[in-house]
Amino acid sequence: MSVLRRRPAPAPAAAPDDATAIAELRDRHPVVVVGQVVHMRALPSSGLPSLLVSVNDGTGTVTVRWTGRRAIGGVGLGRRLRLEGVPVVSSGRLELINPVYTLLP
Amino acid sequence: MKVVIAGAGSVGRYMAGQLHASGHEVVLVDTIASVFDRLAPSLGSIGRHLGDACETATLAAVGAGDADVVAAVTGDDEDNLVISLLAKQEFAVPRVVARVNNPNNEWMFNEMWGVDMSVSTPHLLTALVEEAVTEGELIRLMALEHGKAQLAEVTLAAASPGIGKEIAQLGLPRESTVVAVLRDGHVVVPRPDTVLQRGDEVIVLVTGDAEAEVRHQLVG
Repeated sequence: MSVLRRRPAPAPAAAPDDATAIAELRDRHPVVVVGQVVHMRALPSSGLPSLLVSVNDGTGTVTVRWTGRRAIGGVGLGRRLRLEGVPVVSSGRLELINPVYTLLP
Repeated sequence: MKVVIAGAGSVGRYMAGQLHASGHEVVLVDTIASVFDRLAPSLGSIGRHLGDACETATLAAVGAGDADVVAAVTGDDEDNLVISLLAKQEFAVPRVVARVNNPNNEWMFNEMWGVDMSVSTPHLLTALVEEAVTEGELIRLMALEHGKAQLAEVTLAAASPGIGKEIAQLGLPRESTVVAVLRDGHVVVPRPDTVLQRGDEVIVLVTGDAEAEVRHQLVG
Protein backbone atom coordinates (compact mmCIF):
# COMPACT_ATOMS: atom_id res chain seq x y z
CA MET A 1 0.00 0.00 0.00
CA SER A 2 1.54 3.23 -1.02
CA VAL A 3 0.37 6.70 -1.91
CA LEU A 4 3.46 7.14 -4.02
CA ARG A 5 2.79 6.80 -7.68
CA ARG A 6 4.33 3.74 -9.24
CA ARG A 7 5.22 5.08 -12.60
CA PRO A 8 8.08 4.42 -14.93
CA ALA A 9 11.19 6.49 -14.30
CA PRO A 10 10.57 10.14 -15.22
CA ALA A 11 10.85 10.81 -18.90
CA PRO A 12 13.91 12.77 -19.91
CA ALA A 13 13.28 16.49 -20.37
CA ALA A 14 9.78 16.45 -21.67
CA ALA A 15 9.11 17.36 -25.23
CA PRO A 16 6.27 19.85 -25.05
CA ASP A 17 4.71 18.34 -28.16
CA ASP A 18 3.03 15.57 -26.13
CA ALA A 19 1.33 18.26 -24.08
CA THR A 20 -2.32 19.30 -24.18
CA ALA A 21 -3.27 22.96 -24.46
CA ILE A 22 -4.61 24.15 -21.11
CA ALA A 23 -7.61 25.67 -22.89
CA GLU A 24 -8.57 22.15 -23.94
CA LEU A 25 -8.47 20.41 -20.56
CA ARG A 26 -11.51 18.32 -19.79
CA ASP A 27 -12.80 17.06 -16.49
CA ARG A 28 -11.47 13.56 -15.67
CA HIS A 29 -9.32 13.20 -18.77
CA PRO A 30 -5.68 12.54 -17.79
CA VAL A 31 -3.33 15.05 -19.39
CA VAL A 32 0.19 16.36 -19.67
CA VAL A 33 0.50 20.14 -19.73
CA VAL A 34 3.55 22.36 -20.03
CA GLY A 35 3.39 25.94 -18.84
CA GLN A 36 4.83 28.69 -16.75
CA VAL A 37 4.06 29.52 -13.14
CA VAL A 38 2.29 32.88 -13.10
CA HIS A 39 0.91 32.95 -9.59
CA MET A 40 1.57 31.17 -6.31
CA ARG A 41 -0.32 31.07 -3.07
CA ALA A 42 0.15 29.03 0.09
CA LEU A 43 -3.09 28.25 1.89
CA PRO A 44 -4.01 28.79 4.62
CA SER A 45 -1.55 30.47 6.94
CA SER A 46 -2.71 28.12 9.68
CA GLY A 47 -4.46 24.76 9.57
CA LEU A 48 -4.21 22.27 6.74
CA PRO A 49 -1.61 23.49 4.28
CA SER A 50 -1.84 23.42 0.53
CA LEU A 51 0.11 25.11 -2.21
CA LEU A 52 -1.89 26.67 -5.06
CA VAL A 53 -0.03 27.44 -8.24
CA SER A 54 -1.46 28.96 -11.43
CA VAL A 55 0.19 27.66 -14.58
CA ASN A 56 -0.25 29.35 -17.97
CA ASP A 57 0.72 27.96 -21.36
CA GLY A 58 -0.45 30.81 -23.56
CA THR A 59 -3.85 29.18 -24.22
CA GLY A 60 -5.14 29.39 -20.67
CA THR A 61 -4.42 29.03 -16.99
CA VAL A 62 -4.96 26.02 -14.75
CA THR A 63 -4.76 25.86 -10.98
CA VAL A 64 -2.53 23.20 -9.50
CA ARG A 65 -3.04 22.14 -5.92
CA TRP A 66 -0.42 20.32 -3.91
CA THR A 67 -1.85 19.22 -0.60
CA GLY A 68 -0.01 18.98 2.68
CA ARG A 69 2.76 21.47 1.84
CA ARG A 70 3.31 25.19 1.48
CA ALA A 71 6.35 25.15 -0.78
CA ILE A 72 8.09 22.90 -3.29
CA GLY A 73 11.77 23.28 -4.01
CA GLY A 74 12.31 24.65 -7.50
CA VAL A 75 8.69 25.67 -8.05
CA GLY A 76 8.65 29.45 -8.16
CA LEU A 77 7.25 32.31 -10.22
CA GLY A 78 8.32 32.11 -13.85
CA ARG A 79 9.39 28.44 -13.63
CA ARG A 80 8.33 26.23 -16.53
CA LEU A 81 6.74 22.98 -15.44
CA ARG A 82 5.63 19.78 -17.07
CA LEU A 83 2.62 18.44 -15.20
CA GLU A 84 0.90 15.12 -15.48
CA GLY A 85 -2.43 14.65 -13.74
CA VAL A 86 -6.20 14.43 -13.94
CA PRO A 87 -8.26 17.64 -14.03
CA VAL A 88 -10.94 17.71 -11.37
CA VAL A 89 -13.74 20.23 -10.97
CA SER A 90 -13.26 22.19 -7.76
CA SER A 91 -15.48 25.18 -6.97
CA GLY A 92 -16.59 25.27 -10.60
CA ARG A 93 -13.06 25.37 -12.06
CA LEU A 94 -10.65 22.73 -13.27
CA GLU A 95 -7.78 21.90 -10.97
CA LEU A 96 -4.91 19.44 -11.04
CA ILE A 97 -4.42 17.82 -7.66
CA ASN A 98 -0.96 16.56 -6.74
CA PRO A 99 0.18 16.11 -10.33
CA VAL A 100 3.49 14.52 -11.20
CA TYR A 101 5.76 17.46 -12.00
CA THR A 102 9.03 18.01 -13.81
CA LEU A 103 10.99 21.23 -13.56
CA LEU A 104 11.90 22.49 -17.03
CA PRO A 105 14.75 24.84 -17.87
CA MET B 1 -25.17 6.37 -10.83
CA LYS B 2 -22.07 4.27 -10.80
CA VAL B 3 -20.75 3.59 -7.31
CA VAL B 4 -17.51 1.85 -6.36
CA ILE B 5 -17.51 0.52 -2.80
CA ALA B 6 -14.12 -0.38 -1.38
CA GLY B 7 -14.45 -2.84 1.49
CA ALA B 8 -17.03 -5.62 1.31
CA GLY B 9 -17.48 -6.11 5.03
CA SER B 10 -20.87 -5.78 6.65
CA VAL B 11 -20.94 -2.01 5.96
CA GLY B 12 -19.91 -2.33 2.31
CA ARG B 13 -22.26 -5.22 1.63
CA TYR B 14 -25.18 -3.42 3.25
CA MET B 15 -24.52 -0.27 1.22
CA ALA B 16 -24.19 -2.32 -1.95
CA GLY B 17 -27.56 -3.96 -1.30
CA GLN B 18 -29.31 -0.67 -0.63
CA LEU B 19 -27.81 1.14 -3.61
CA HIS B 20 -28.43 -1.83 -5.89
CA ALA B 21 -32.06 -1.87 -4.79
CA SER B 22 -32.34 1.82 -5.72
CA GLY B 23 -31.16 0.98 -9.20
CA HIS B 24 -27.55 2.14 -9.03
CA GLU B 25 -24.67 0.36 -10.70
CA VAL B 26 -22.54 -0.97 -7.85
CA VAL B 27 -19.10 -2.60 -7.77
CA LEU B 28 -17.71 -4.04 -4.54
CA VAL B 29 -13.96 -4.37 -4.08
CA ASP B 30 -12.22 -6.45 -1.42
CA THR B 31 -8.97 -8.33 -0.97
CA ILE B 32 -10.66 -11.35 0.60
CA ALA B 33 -12.61 -13.58 -1.76
CA SER B 34 -14.71 -15.23 0.94
CA VAL B 35 -16.52 -12.01 1.93
CA PHE B 36 -18.30 -12.01 -1.41
CA ASP B 37 -19.88 -15.38 -0.49
CA ARG B 38 -21.78 -13.58 2.24
CA LEU B 39 -23.66 -11.42 -0.23
CA ALA B 40 -27.33 -12.29 -0.22
CA PRO B 41 -28.30 -14.49 -3.19
CA SER B 42 -30.65 -11.73 -4.36
CA LEU B 43 -27.61 -9.51 -4.89
CA GLY B 44 -26.05 -11.84 -7.42
CA SER B 45 -25.87 -9.17 -10.07
CA ILE B 46 -23.74 -6.76 -8.02
CA GLY B 47 -20.28 -6.34 -9.49
CA ARG B 48 -17.47 -7.77 -7.38
CA HIS B 49 -13.76 -7.43 -7.82
CA LEU B 50 -11.03 -9.21 -5.91
CA GLY B 51 -8.15 -6.80 -5.41
CA ASP B 52 -6.60 -4.07 -3.30
CA ALA B 53 -8.42 -0.77 -3.76
CA CYS B 54 -5.32 0.99 -2.41
CA GLU B 55 -3.73 0.23 -5.78
CA THR B 56 -4.36 2.60 -8.67
CA ALA B 57 -4.55 -0.36 -11.05
CA THR B 58 -7.39 -1.94 -9.07
CA LEU B 59 -9.39 1.29 -9.07
CA ALA B 60 -8.80 1.62 -12.81
CA ALA B 61 -9.97 -1.97 -13.33
CA VAL B 62 -13.28 -1.37 -11.55
CA GLY B 63 -13.89 1.79 -13.54
CA ALA B 64 -13.21 4.52 -10.99
CA GLY B 65 -12.50 6.73 -14.00
CA ASP B 66 -16.19 7.03 -14.78
CA ALA B 67 -17.64 6.37 -11.31
CA ASP B 68 -19.89 9.04 -9.84
CA VAL B 69 -19.07 8.04 -6.28
CA VAL B 70 -16.30 6.10 -4.57
CA ALA B 71 -17.05 4.98 -1.01
CA ALA B 72 -14.05 3.90 1.08
CA VAL B 73 -15.64 1.86 3.86
CA THR B 74 -13.00 -0.67 4.91
CA GLY B 75 -12.33 -1.28 8.59
CA ASP B 76 -8.93 0.36 8.25
CA ASP B 77 -8.67 4.16 8.34
CA GLU B 78 -5.29 4.21 6.59
CA ASP B 79 -6.71 2.23 3.69
CA ASN B 80 -9.76 4.47 3.54
CA LEU B 81 -7.56 7.56 3.29
CA VAL B 82 -5.38 6.09 0.57
CA ILE B 83 -8.41 4.96 -1.43
CA SER B 84 -9.96 8.42 -1.08
CA LEU B 85 -6.81 10.22 -2.16
CA LEU B 86 -6.32 7.98 -5.19
CA ALA B 87 -9.97 8.29 -6.19
CA LYS B 88 -9.76 12.08 -6.15
CA GLN B 89 -6.23 12.59 -7.40
CA GLU B 90 -5.98 9.90 -10.05
CA PHE B 91 -9.59 9.59 -11.19
CA ALA B 92 -11.14 12.97 -10.26
CA VAL B 93 -14.17 11.21 -8.78
CA PRO B 94 -16.80 13.90 -8.11
CA ARG B 95 -17.89 12.54 -4.75
CA VAL B 96 -15.62 10.60 -2.41
CA VAL B 97 -17.19 9.28 0.78
CA ALA B 98 -15.09 7.71 3.53
CA ARG B 99 -15.78 5.81 6.72
CA VAL B 100 -13.92 6.85 9.86
CA ASN B 101 -13.34 3.87 12.13
CA ASN B 102 -11.39 5.56 14.90
CA PRO B 103 -12.77 9.02 15.74
CA ASN B 104 -9.23 10.14 16.63
CA ASN B 105 -8.47 9.98 12.91
CA GLU B 106 -11.42 12.09 11.85
CA TRP B 107 -9.36 15.27 11.50
CA MET B 108 -7.54 13.76 8.53
CA PHE B 109 -10.69 12.94 6.56
CA ASN B 110 -10.87 16.15 4.57
CA GLU B 111 -10.06 17.55 1.15
CA MET B 112 -6.35 17.15 1.75
CA TRP B 113 -6.90 13.43 1.47
CA GLY B 114 -9.51 13.72 -1.26
CA VAL B 115 -12.46 13.11 1.08
CA ASP B 116 -15.63 15.05 0.25
CA MET B 117 -17.72 13.58 3.04
CA SER B 118 -16.75 11.43 6.00
CA VAL B 119 -18.93 9.47 8.35
CA SER B 120 -17.68 8.50 11.77
CA THR B 121 -19.95 5.93 13.33
CA PRO B 122 -18.65 6.34 16.91
CA HIS B 123 -19.00 10.11 16.61
CA LEU B 124 -22.50 9.78 15.20
CA LEU B 125 -23.49 7.37 17.98
CA THR B 126 -22.12 9.73 20.63
CA ALA B 127 -24.04 12.62 19.11
CA LEU B 128 -27.23 10.56 19.04
CA VAL B 129 -26.82 9.49 22.67
CA GLU B 130 -26.09 13.08 23.72
CA GLU B 131 -29.08 14.22 21.73
CA ALA B 132 -31.30 11.69 23.55
CA VAL B 133 -30.20 12.60 27.06
CA THR B 134 -29.45 16.29 26.82
CA GLU B 135 -31.82 19.19 27.08
CA GLY B 136 -30.85 22.81 26.64
CA GLU B 137 -27.56 22.24 24.83
CA LEU B 138 -26.58 22.73 21.21
CA ILE B 139 -25.50 19.34 19.89
CA ARG B 140 -23.68 18.92 16.62
CA LEU B 141 -25.18 16.05 14.68
CA MET B 142 -23.21 16.15 11.46
CA ALA B 143 -20.62 18.23 9.66
CA LEU B 144 -21.23 19.26 6.05
CA GLU B 145 -18.88 20.81 3.52
CA HIS B 146 -15.76 19.86 5.45
CA GLY B 147 -17.05 21.27 8.70
CA LYS B 148 -17.96 24.68 7.25
CA ALA B 149 -21.57 23.90 8.10
CA GLN B 150 -23.03 21.89 10.95
CA LEU B 151 -26.37 20.27 11.40
CA ALA B 152 -27.13 20.87 15.07
CA GLU B 153 -29.97 20.11 17.43
CA VAL B 154 -31.33 21.82 20.54
CA THR B 155 -34.04 20.49 22.80
CA LEU B 156 -35.60 23.60 24.28
CA ALA B 157 -35.34 23.59 28.08
CA ALA B 158 -37.55 25.75 30.32
CA ALA B 159 -34.89 28.47 30.41
CA SER B 160 -34.58 28.84 26.64
CA PRO B 161 -35.17 32.42 25.48
CA GLY B 162 -36.75 30.99 22.32
CA ILE B 163 -39.86 29.59 24.03
CA GLY B 164 -43.07 31.37 23.06
CA LYS B 165 -41.39 33.19 20.18
CA GLU B 166 -42.07 32.87 16.49
CA ILE B 167 -39.08 31.65 14.50
CA ALA B 168 -38.94 35.00 12.67
CA GLN B 169 -38.65 36.77 16.03
CA LEU B 170 -35.70 34.71 17.23
CA GLY B 171 -33.23 36.94 15.47
CA LEU B 172 -31.16 34.03 14.21
CA PRO B 173 -28.13 35.11 12.19
CA ARG B 174 -28.27 34.97 8.38
CA GLU B 175 -25.77 32.12 8.32
CA SER B 176 -28.20 29.78 10.05
CA THR B 177 -31.59 28.35 9.33
CA VAL B 178 -34.11 26.21 11.19
CA VAL B 179 -34.66 23.13 9.04
CA ALA B 180 -37.15 21.24 11.19
CA VAL B 181 -38.88 21.22 14.55
CA LEU B 182 -39.71 17.88 16.17
CA ARG B 183 -42.67 18.14 18.51
CA ASP B 184 -44.40 15.21 20.26
CA GLY B 185 -42.97 12.78 17.75
CA HIS B 186 -44.13 14.80 14.73
CA VAL B 187 -42.14 16.89 12.33
CA VAL B 188 -43.30 20.48 12.20
CA VAL B 189 -42.19 22.16 9.02
CA PRO B 190 -40.77 25.46 10.29
CA ARG B 191 -42.38 28.65 9.04
CA PRO B 192 -41.60 32.20 10.11
CA ASP B 193 -44.69 32.20 12.34
CA THR B 194 -44.09 28.80 13.96
CA VAL B 195 -44.14 29.36 17.73
CA LEU B 196 -41.55 27.37 19.67
CA GLN B 197 -42.54 25.45 22.77
CA ARG B 198 -40.69 23.84 25.64
CA GLY B 199 -39.47 20.37 24.69
CA ASP B 200 -39.31 21.14 20.96
CA GLU B 201 -36.32 19.61 19.26
CA VAL B 202 -35.10 22.32 16.92
CA ILE B 203 -32.83 21.19 14.09
CA VAL B 204 -30.67 24.01 12.78
CA LEU B 205 -28.20 24.28 9.94
CA VAL B 206 -25.37 26.55 11.06
CA THR B 207 -22.13 27.75 9.52
CA GLY B 208 -19.12 28.07 11.81
CA ASP B 209 -19.29 31.71 12.81
CA ALA B 210 -22.99 31.72 13.58
CA GLU B 211 -22.93 28.91 16.11
CA ALA B 212 -22.38 31.07 19.19
CA GLU B 213 -25.23 33.38 18.21
CA VAL B 214 -27.60 30.45 17.57
CA ARG B 215 -26.68 28.98 20.94
CA HIS B 216 -27.38 32.35 22.55
CA GLN B 217 -30.85 32.57 20.95
CA LEU B 218 -31.96 29.00 21.57
CA VAL B 219 -30.11 27.89 24.69
CA GLY B 220 -29.68 31.17 26.52
